[in-house]
Amino acid sequence: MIEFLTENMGAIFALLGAALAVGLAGAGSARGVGVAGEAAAGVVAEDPTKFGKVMVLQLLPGTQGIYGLIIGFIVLSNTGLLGSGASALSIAKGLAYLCACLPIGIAGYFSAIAQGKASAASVGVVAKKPDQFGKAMIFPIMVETYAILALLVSILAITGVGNLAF
Amino acid sequence: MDKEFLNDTLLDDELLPDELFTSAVAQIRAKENTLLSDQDLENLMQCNSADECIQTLLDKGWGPTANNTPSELLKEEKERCWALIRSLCDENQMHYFDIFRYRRDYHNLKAAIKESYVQKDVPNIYLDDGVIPLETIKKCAADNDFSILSFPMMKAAQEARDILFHTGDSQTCDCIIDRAALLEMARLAKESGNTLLQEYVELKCASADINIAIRACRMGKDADFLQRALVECDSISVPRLISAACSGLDSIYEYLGTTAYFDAVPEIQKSPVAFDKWCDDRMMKLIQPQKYNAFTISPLAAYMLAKENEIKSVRIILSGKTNDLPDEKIRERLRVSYV
Repeated sequence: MIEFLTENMGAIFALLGAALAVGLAGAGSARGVGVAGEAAAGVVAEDPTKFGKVMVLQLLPGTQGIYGLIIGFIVLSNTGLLGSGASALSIAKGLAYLCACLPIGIAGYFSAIAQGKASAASVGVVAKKPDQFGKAMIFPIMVETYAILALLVSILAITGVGNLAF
Repeated sequence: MDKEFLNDTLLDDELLPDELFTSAVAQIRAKENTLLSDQDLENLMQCNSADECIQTLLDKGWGPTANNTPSELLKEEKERCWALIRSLCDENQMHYFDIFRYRRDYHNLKAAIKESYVQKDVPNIYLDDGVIPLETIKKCAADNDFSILSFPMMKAAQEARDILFHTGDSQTCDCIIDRAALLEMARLAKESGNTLLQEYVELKCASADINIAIRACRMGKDADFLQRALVECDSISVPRLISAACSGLDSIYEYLGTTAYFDAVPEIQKSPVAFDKWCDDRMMKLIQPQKYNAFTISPLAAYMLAKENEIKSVRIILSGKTNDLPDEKIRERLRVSYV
């Protein structure tokens, strides 16, 4: 048992990192898109012509899920868990991959929910003043900044971990 | 977990338990575009007759009804507003909107008790769209059995009926029932935990207290009457108001000058109608922030209050035009609009 863990713990940690990146960011996006979707549906119930505009706003909190997916793919690919089979991965390296996944996992989750709320509020702006769609879109997009920063750090960290010798 | 998280971290304390009303608020946002603005009311004022006003209202999306009479149009618009709110809320959520309908029930209760006292049918004294079916209230009053009503209502009804039948004092009867209505509204507002509903009830209680104090002072009523009629509220000290009312009108004005209603004093001195308008305008001011609130029941309540206010303004214009009142007389009664 101890031998099995020593041999595979690195890969398990890396897999856990990928799962957290995809799972947390995806769950945040699902909630954000859900909140914005509720608002969008409310507007379309009154004015179906605004469908296109409110749908764009609803989609905005969905990007964090995509970022999580990208990180998940990179980790799985770098560790060899995707495709040809895992190469031996030390526990330290596995943990390093797990840590590298946390920024997008955590920031993705919270920023997606916050963006969903901002999108729902912007849907209200579009409902009252459709000509202000451009401005209304800026508010939820501002939240995106922090998800992008987290994505960037996760990518840089994963690349750095890949180059480590241990 | 989801809603708890949103409640605790992302929203303010104006939530009903576990309710975000996201979709409902977005729908209300779209509906707010159909509310009449101050400019629309001005356009109505420019009409030469009530018929022309009605045509303008029809163009704005009001009605149409069978005969497009003013009363039909106003009733239809009110029903449409309630139907919208009902479509956006489930039964439990609708319970909180009963705050806006309780006074109708209590008014009907007063009317039914008085009708049973005079022992004849009096036409057009009842209000529709209360929480309790009108027939139930009428039957309770006729049978002198209020046990099927809620406890506060039953207690108030029994007390008011006993006083009316033993002393013939309809004023005290009115005060007891009005007070019970306000207390019931305050209870429900507190239960909701919603700031807007609490502010609405607070204003209703304070304005009722001020009106009663002024009237009682003019009629020379004593402190006991006031004690029985006034409702405790946060913005008015009942003991101080009673003491002021017993000393005279100037004392009331002086006391009110130290409260949140200091700017209402000139309107109170002018007339009850002017004070009524001040209260409605104050309410519109209170609900203004809801135009920017994307969640909670508050924007729904604000829309409903705004619609009621709009209907009131249209009624004033239509009745003014029908009775050929001068424009300035109509204008001085017009409420400010929400949008």
